[in-house]
This record gives sequence, structure tokens and C-alpha cells, in this order.
Amino acid sequence: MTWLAQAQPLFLAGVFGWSGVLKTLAGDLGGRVAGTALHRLLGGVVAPAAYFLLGVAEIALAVSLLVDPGRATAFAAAVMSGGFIVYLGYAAIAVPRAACGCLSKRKVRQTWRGFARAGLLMASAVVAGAGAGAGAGAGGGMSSAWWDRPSWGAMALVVVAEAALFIALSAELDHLWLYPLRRLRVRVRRPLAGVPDVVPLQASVSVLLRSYAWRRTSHLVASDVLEHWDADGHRILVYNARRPDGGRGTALFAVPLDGDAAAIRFTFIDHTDETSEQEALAAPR
Amino acid sequence: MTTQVDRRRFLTSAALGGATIVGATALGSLAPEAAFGAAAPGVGPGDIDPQFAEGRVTSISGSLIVAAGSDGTLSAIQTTTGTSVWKLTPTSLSAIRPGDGLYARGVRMPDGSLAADALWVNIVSLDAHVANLASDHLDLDHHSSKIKAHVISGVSAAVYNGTPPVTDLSHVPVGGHVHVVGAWRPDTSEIDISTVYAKV
Repeated sequence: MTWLAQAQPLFLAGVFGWSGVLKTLAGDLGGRVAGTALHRLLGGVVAPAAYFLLGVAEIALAVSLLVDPGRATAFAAAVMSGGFIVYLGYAAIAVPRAACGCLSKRKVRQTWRGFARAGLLMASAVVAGAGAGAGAGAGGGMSSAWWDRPSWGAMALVVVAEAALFIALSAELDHLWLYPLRRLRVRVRRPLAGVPDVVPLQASVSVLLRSYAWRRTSHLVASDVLEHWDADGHRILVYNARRPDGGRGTALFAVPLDGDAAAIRFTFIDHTDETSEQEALAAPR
Repeated sequence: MTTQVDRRRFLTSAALGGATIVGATALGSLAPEAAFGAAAPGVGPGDIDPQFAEGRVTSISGSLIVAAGSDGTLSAIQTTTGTSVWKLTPTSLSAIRPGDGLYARGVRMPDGSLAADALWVNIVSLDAHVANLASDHLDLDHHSSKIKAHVISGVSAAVYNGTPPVTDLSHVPVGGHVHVVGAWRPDTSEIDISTVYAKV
């Protein structure tokens, strides 16, 4: 199983290198850190610098893993992974809604996936360290360095599998694979397409609010929709109304269900003098 | 029920042009309280709007609602048959429950109570990221919180690119951002969708 241990520095170097480059090359460090648990932990002044230095450390670790894979670099990767787990634990307790700020400028909600991802890194570092220890214990005849008598096919398979698992556990990367898959499922299965073909109330209200009739009469309307029903191809909307002189009444709007705003009819039922005036307001077409 | 149908038939004929003289006594229950005739005072910058109240409903006694505001103040809100009540759809006072959140607009009375013209119960308006579409709801991310947004048949509507609302929400983009107006289900992270505004 030497190939399993040999593959781990490659996987870890890829992850830490990628993460480090993202951190160090990111413009607007303050903006990147704002809203993360790191900002809450260290404050707005120190956090951007710490974020940058962490990126430098990750790059250095990635290079070390590539050029000098062994127990020391595996131990360093384990310490880094353990630090991530502690950080995520702090974030989950202190600022549960804060973003991680780990792998992307995308600020996503932290869930169990973040812990599982850090756990994957820790496990990988432990396997790499165990492999390096076994190689050293064999009297130097065996080495766990990835370039030493490698089984390229097996190593590639391990790295690809671990990378796939890592991506699957990274909420920041959902837009690359999870959302496209979900969009495909929605296109195929159309989960919300089987709804009754009715004109929603909001459609009638929207037509009314943009109409000439509303502009002419809205000063009389004192309430939101009191009730509504459909009749003769119209939706009747009932509002409580108030005349400019304080008189009370009811405002009725008959909004065509076909959305023809020019055909909206308005009626004011006056409750003050027990008479009514009706006017049909037709906007110029 | 018959009275309701007769009343609606009567109002329909008025709205569509069949009536020329309508007496208020024929309608009866539509009339709001006389308090609603009061003029509204102006609101200066930084002042509390006297025509507005918000909070969680602590008690309902007849037509009087008491709500505990987010700033700790108690508001007495007087309703009438002319008060509109929105709780996902236009409804009545009987739909309001203790624990509901509400916004009220009306006229401040001399005794400090608010004579409500309109109540919006549990209304929420939020920007969100669409994580998934299911057969009866949307999964939303809002400020790092997961929200289950229920689609209510015949009620929930979608506005795509500013076009008129439709009941087909199947075009809401997974992975996209939307604005949602809906009714919160108290003490849960779930809402019922009134309208989703999306770009497609």
C-alpha cells in the first residue's frame, strides 16, 4: 500500500497550494475577510494580514510536501488540518452564520461538510506520515516519496478520488457541479410545473398598481385588499376607502383577468352620505 | 354564506356597471370606524411614525390586538371590519394568532392605540440564493441561513424579469438570486411564498 501513502503529499500539496494561492493573490483582502469567522476572531486590522500569512504558509507547505515528502511535512500538514478543525469549531460556536473564508471568495454557510473536508485533510496527512514512518523503518530501502518507484496509475486514481471527495465537501465549489446537476434535474423533471393555470391575485394587483385608474384613484384607498373574487372575466378587488374630506367608503376595482389595464373599472361606494358615484376610468390606449 | 354571495353579487354589479345608486346600509359591515376619518400627522426625520406599529402578537381580545414591538414597546392595535388583513392572502382578523408577527398602518388615536387600516401578518421580504427546487418548495440560503420556502398552489407567484406574475415557479433559477415576499411560519425557518422575483 505504499502507493496510497505516496499519493497523499500530492493531494495535500494540491489543496494547500490552491488554497494558498487564492489567499495570497486575492485583491481586497479586507473585503475577502469581512464576514468571515477570522474577522470576528482577530478583528478588522489583524485578520487581513493573518489571512495573507496563512496563504503564504499554505504555499510553503505545499512546496515542502512536493519536494521533501516525509514525516516532518506530513506532521506539518496534520497540524494545519487540525488548526482548520479548531477554527471551524470556533466559528460554529461563536459566529455560526459567518463564512469560513477558506477556499473561495464565495461566502457560504458552514455545515458539517466543512468539518468533513478538514477531517479528510487530517486523514490524508496521517496516512502520509504513517507511510513515511514505514519507509524510514524499513532501513531506508523503501521510500514513500512520490517519485520513488511509483505506481502511477494507482496514485493517480487515489489523488483523483480524494480530489473529487474534497470538491464534493466544498460548499464554495457547489456552483461548479452541484447547481448544474440540480438545474439539469429541474429541466428534466420540472418539479414545480404542475400548478393550476390560474391568474394569481398578485398579477391582478400588479396590473392595477400600474394602471391609469390607480393613479387617478389611489389617494382614496386606505387599506390593502380587503377581499377579492372573480366575476365575468374580471377580478373584483375591494379596498377600504376614504374621501379627501374624511368621508368613508369602499373602493371597488374590476380588473380584467386578461390583464388589460386600460379596461379597469373603478367604483367608489360612499358610506358618508349613503350615495355612490361610479366612474369607469379608461386610460388612453 | 348566502349573505356573502348576495353581497358579492351586489358589489360585482356595482363594480361592473350595473349599479348607479348604492346605499351604505346595503353593505353594512364594510364601514370602518369613525376614527379612520382623522387626519394623519406628518413625520419628521428620525421621528417614530405614529401611523405605524410592528411586533409579535401577545394577545387578541375581540377586535383589539396587543403586539410587543422589536424595541420592547407594547402596541395596542384596534381593528374594524374595514381593516385589511394580509396573511399570505387577504383574510380576516380570525386568522391572526398569538405569536404572529405583524406590521400595522393606520391612525393614532388619542388614547395611544392605533386604529388600523391595514395589517400585514408574518410578512417577510428577503433576498436569497436558490439552492434547490423540490416538488413543493424552494430551498433558499439567506444570510447563511437555510430557509424552506413553500409553494402554495394557486397563490404563490413568480415574476420573471419584471413580467406579470404567473403561478409557474419552475423557471426559478437554481444557483441564482431572487427576491421573495412571503409569509413566515412563526418560530420556524420556513415561509409560504407570495411572490418570487427572479431573473432568468
